[in-house]
Amino acid sequence: MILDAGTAERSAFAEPFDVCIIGAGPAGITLARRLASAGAGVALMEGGDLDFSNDSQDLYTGRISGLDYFPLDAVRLRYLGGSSNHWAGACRELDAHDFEPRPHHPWSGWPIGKEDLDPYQGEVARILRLDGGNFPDPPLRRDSDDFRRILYRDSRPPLRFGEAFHDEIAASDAIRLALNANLVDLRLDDTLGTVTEARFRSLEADDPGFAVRARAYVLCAGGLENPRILLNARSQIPAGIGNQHDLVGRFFCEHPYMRVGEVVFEERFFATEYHAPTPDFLDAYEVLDFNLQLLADRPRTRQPLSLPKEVAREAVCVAPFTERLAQRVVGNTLSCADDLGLRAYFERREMPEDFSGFAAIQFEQALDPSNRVRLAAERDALGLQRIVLDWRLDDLDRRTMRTAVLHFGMLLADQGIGRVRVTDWILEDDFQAGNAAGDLSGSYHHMCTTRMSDDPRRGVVDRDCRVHGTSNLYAGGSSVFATAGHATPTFTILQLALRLGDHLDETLLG
Amino acid sequence: MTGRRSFLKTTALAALAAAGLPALGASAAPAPLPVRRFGEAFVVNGWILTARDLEALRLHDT
Ligand SMILES: Cc1cc2nc3c(=O)[nH]c(=O)nc-3n(C[C@H](O)[C@H](O)[C@H](O)COP(=O)(O)OP(=O)(O)OC[C@H]3O[C@@H](n4cnc5c(N)ncnc54)[C@H](O)[C@@H]3O)c2cc1C
Repeated sequence: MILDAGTAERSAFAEPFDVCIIGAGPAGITLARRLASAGAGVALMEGGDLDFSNDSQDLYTGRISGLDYFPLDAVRLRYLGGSSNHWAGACRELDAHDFEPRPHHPWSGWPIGKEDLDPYQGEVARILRLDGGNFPDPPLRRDSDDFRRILYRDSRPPLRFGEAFHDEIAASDAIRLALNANLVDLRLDDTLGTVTEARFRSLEADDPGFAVRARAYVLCAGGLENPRILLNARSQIPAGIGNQHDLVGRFFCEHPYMRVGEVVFEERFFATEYHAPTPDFLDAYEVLDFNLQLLADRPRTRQPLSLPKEVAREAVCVAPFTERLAQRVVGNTLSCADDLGLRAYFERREMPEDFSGFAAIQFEQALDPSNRVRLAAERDALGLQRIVLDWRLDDLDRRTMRTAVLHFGMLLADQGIGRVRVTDWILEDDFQAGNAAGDLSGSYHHMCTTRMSDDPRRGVVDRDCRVHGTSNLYAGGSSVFATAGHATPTFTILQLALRLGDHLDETLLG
Repeated sequence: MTGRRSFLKTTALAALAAAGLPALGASAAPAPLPVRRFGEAFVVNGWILTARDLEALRLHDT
């Protein structure tokens, strides 16, 4: 059932529910469907509407401090389906070693392992409409102790959760989805350990709001909003809920994305390839996890040159690799012809393919408590404090970046793939310059801000995603990641949502 | 493919001269470029090269 909380329909939320889920993005919708299939009564409370609106999106505005980052109201979407309304659909699960503590990475280690999420792999692949349930990685061209090839699988077209499950939720008796229901407070009992109600209101100026009561509450509002909600929930605990060790919002991690530079290929190359380090490499060089992306240049549309010049361009392409490399290394302005070039005369417009491309790296960011989501003085239209995001990279990030790039260069040579040219700021370890040049940014992934640990002094939620110090408040989404790994997060977010569904099913219903 | 390639290359080399551009065979001449060493990697003009590349390109580890 889908209802509008901005109208009289809010009376449909008067009866207590088994579970109240805050946020209907990939995490919230997946959890709601899992619980509904077990017969639970679910209140799924979504702040936005069915479509984008400026007023709802404005609630996501915030400030950045540190490295240049995207505007906070542009890196996520605040309406039914959440950021799945603009995600790219690239999927990969975390590797087993991403869950292990690593001595060279302070704070690292999950209280659960890959084996705890594996049982959900097949179902997540089905939800995301990926073909097959696992990720068979292709072999390298030549054996290497340091690297392996990896594969991303695409949800194609990228699954828009709001659209995809709208009709199912509308027809469901178990799920009551409220639109325009913005969480503004969580109320606790006298022991301050149990949530008794969640308070919501619409964006109407004089809306007194309404309460939803449930046996358990799950925050699924995204990696920046989950901590914001906990920090803003100060009506009974001044530091916010779950923040007894000042950890809520800390350890913010992105997947820093860095354009390394151009690549000249030994053979025609017209694909996208990913490589990642082996666990032995990570230990030997004491670096964080990362992946290396190799992308062929897309054919550009350009004006054809005169015939001799077109021939000259093509000559560079057909020349032996050493000659082409020499042209590049000693300074050459020629590049391969594209599909408007001479090749078309001779090869009758084959697939776009080329001898050049570029390389990029995406890496796991180091856990650093000073990278954090904190409250700003400014308030939004609901009276809640906005956020400031502190985002910086540290020495471990720097070492990872430089080590990754140099070994990547050697990998390309060893594998007979090609050679890469790195931009100066990478060799100079100058993040600021790379960031200013637009070569270094994030990947729109917001992780670890309510990280998982069995120790309340090291994390905000426990292995069951329950907020430490509370009996019935949980978090879903990438805010609970204990480390970021290098893989895109949504596949893992869904695995965690299904696992949390099983836990709530057992503890509340079972 | 090989036949077409060498045809292309011959045509190309002729065209290079016509376009006033350097012939490719002569392009690997020694160049006074600084070579920076990072472990087994050599960086020349930003390019990450192997020791064998340096030899092939007749560049020297300075
Ligand atoms: C441009 C872009 C490309 C991306 N590409 C990829 C990719 O290729 N692969 C990948 O794995 N990931 C990708 N991501 C990340 C992916 O979109 C997120 O991992 C995913 O959407 C997170 O799901 P979520 O449900 O945890 O949070 P969200 O998608 O952020 O959903 C949170 C929901 O909570 C609601 N909400 C927020 N605050 C409140 C409140 N106070 N009260 C009630 N409701 C509230 C929001 O409206 C929203 O519907 C991309 C992200 C972006 C921005």
